[in-house]
Amino acid sequence: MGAPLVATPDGRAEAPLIEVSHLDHAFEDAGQRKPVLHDICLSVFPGEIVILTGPSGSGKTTLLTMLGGLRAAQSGSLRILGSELLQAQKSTLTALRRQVGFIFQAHNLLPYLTALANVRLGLEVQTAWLDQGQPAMDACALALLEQVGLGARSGAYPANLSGGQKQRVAIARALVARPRLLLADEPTAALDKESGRDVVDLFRHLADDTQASIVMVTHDNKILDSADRIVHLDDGRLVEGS
Amino acid sequence: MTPPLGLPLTLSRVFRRTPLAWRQVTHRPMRLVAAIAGVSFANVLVFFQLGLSGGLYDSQKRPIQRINGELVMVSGRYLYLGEQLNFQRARLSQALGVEGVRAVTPLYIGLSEWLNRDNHQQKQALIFGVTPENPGLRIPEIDRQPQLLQRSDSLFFDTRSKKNAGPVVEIVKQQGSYDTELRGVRAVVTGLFTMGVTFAADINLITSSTNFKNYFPDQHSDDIQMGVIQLEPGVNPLQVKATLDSFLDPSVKVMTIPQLADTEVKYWRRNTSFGIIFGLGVLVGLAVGCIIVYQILYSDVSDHLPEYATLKAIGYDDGFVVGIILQEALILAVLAFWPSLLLSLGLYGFLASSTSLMVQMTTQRAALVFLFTLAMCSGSGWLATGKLRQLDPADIF
Ligand SMILES: Nc1ncnc2c1ncn2[C@@H]1O[C@H](COP(=O)(O)OP(=O)(O)OP(=O)(O)O)[C@@H](O)[C@H]1O
Ligand SMILES: [Mg+2]
Repeated sequence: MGAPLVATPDGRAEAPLIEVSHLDHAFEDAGQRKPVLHDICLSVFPGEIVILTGPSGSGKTTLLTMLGGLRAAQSGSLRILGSELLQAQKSTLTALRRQVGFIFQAHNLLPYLTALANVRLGLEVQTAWLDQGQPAMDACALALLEQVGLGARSGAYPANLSGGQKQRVAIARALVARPRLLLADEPTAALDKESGRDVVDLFRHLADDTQASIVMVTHDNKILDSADRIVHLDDGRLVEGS
Repeated sequence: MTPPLGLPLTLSRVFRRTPLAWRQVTHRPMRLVAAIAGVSFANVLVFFQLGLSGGLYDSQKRPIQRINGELVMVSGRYLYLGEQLNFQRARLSQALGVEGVRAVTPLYIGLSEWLNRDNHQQKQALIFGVTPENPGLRIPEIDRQPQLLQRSDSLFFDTRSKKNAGPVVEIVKQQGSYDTELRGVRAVVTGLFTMGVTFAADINLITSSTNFKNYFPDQHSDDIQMGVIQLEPGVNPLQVKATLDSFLDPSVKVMTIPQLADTEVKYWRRNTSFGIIFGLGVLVGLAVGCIIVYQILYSDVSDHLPEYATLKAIGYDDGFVVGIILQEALILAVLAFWPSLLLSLGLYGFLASSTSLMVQMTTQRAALVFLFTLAMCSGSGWLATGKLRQLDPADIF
């Protein structure tokens, strides 16, 4: 998969985990073509945290879903974790999603599963984890819940959790399988200052320990400092920030 | 990517997974109970239709089940009980020489017109003639009072005959006998028995073989309609049948009692349209079930669309997500079957006692309905997943 070697800002020579070039995207809306993304070029390297900002409706979520293989790319090139997603097969997308952790604007927990079981779903999708058995998966899921400060609430159902707690369960679910790429859409929106900070620290550890790449959408000025790089989306065009 | 898996490994993985379908159906117990009630109701409808049509046709076997022997000899052109097809009594005597045959006895069968004395209308009556020393039908009422058949015009009357025969039962009980005519010949009911009518006639009568000839004067005295063959204990009827088949004239044939019963049911299935009517009833039941299951699963899919999209986004494939709904359908099918079976057993008991039809639960019928409900649930489950299969996880976020 000869991905070109590019120098990172701090001088490392590594293949980027995300490599987007000249990506356009348009929605069909009531028979009308509605362009949302224009000529996006973006590379994200292992261990790097990139924050994506921009006004509402500028296309942040759209770009994030395309990076995670949730939306098929129509034109340009979109190379994620080594596979090209332009006109990719369903099975390629599914396989990619297993290596990507996704935190959505809405938490989307399964209401009929406990917090622990919801987190475990992120492990059960990996056959390697399934083979280790349920006790091992439970232990791993519980450890993650403890890291987001919910160890004591692992048996609770989503209906009995607060909005911020639900958001943290969803974060634990995305992190539990140690994804190589984490995509987070306003992960701290529902959190207070302190737990928001904890979550960002968790992201930092993931990036440092496992060389995972993280792309995070946020309006939260308090956490901008955690980023290696900030990129700005304006009306579908990417502007590299500080 | 993933290597091809052996079955045991795949299975053990299945059991390590969170049973999502089970969790989902049991998450809201009242909703589950309502769903089970709905599917059970559809099953009971199907059981009811099958029970009635089965009972209607099974009831045609009643006289045959009374036959006092293991094999019967009938005319080679035999189709059903009640068609008067004659053969010579000498043919039956031939069977006596075969090893394993203990005795033979003729059973006379004929249709005649019974006169309802009250309204002067004529009704079809099926008349059996039995020899008093060795009757071809097992009728305990006659065994108890054989002297009641001694008069040359006396008959026993089936208490389950249609009401249009007249107030026979009441009059016999009050006055000891009921006088009327069979195709103009004087007939006196002196006794009652209980067997059950068939499609062949509205009225069943039993008389002695000598009296039978009075009611069918045209019949040659050597002619009989059925020969009952009684075997030694422990002898296999099929073996004796094979021996008889090997030398008997093709103008007659030999059947076992189950074969005769089967022929009877098949004949009436072919020549009546109740099967279609009840078949439609079964379809209605299945349609009701399908609509209920579809409704339940469809609303489940719609209510949880973002969650299913999330599962897809985490990396579960379409098959997995659709599988959850199909498993829910199967769980419903299995859970709903048992209460419907119990209810239907009660319903059958009630039908049997209140209609005098032979409504019985058989393993075969229970298995058939179980298959129906499995097919019904998984079919509508599949339809309900249409939205899921097309679901693009990105459109939810
Ligand atoms: N499925 C869709 N069909 C049609 N148009 C869509 C669809 N999804 C998003 N859009 C449009 O695309 C544009 C970008 O949407 P997107 O959700 O990416 O914005 P965003 O930057 O994430 O905004 P926010 O900060 O409010 O979450 C918006 O104008 C939106 O109306
Ligand atoms: Mg958004």
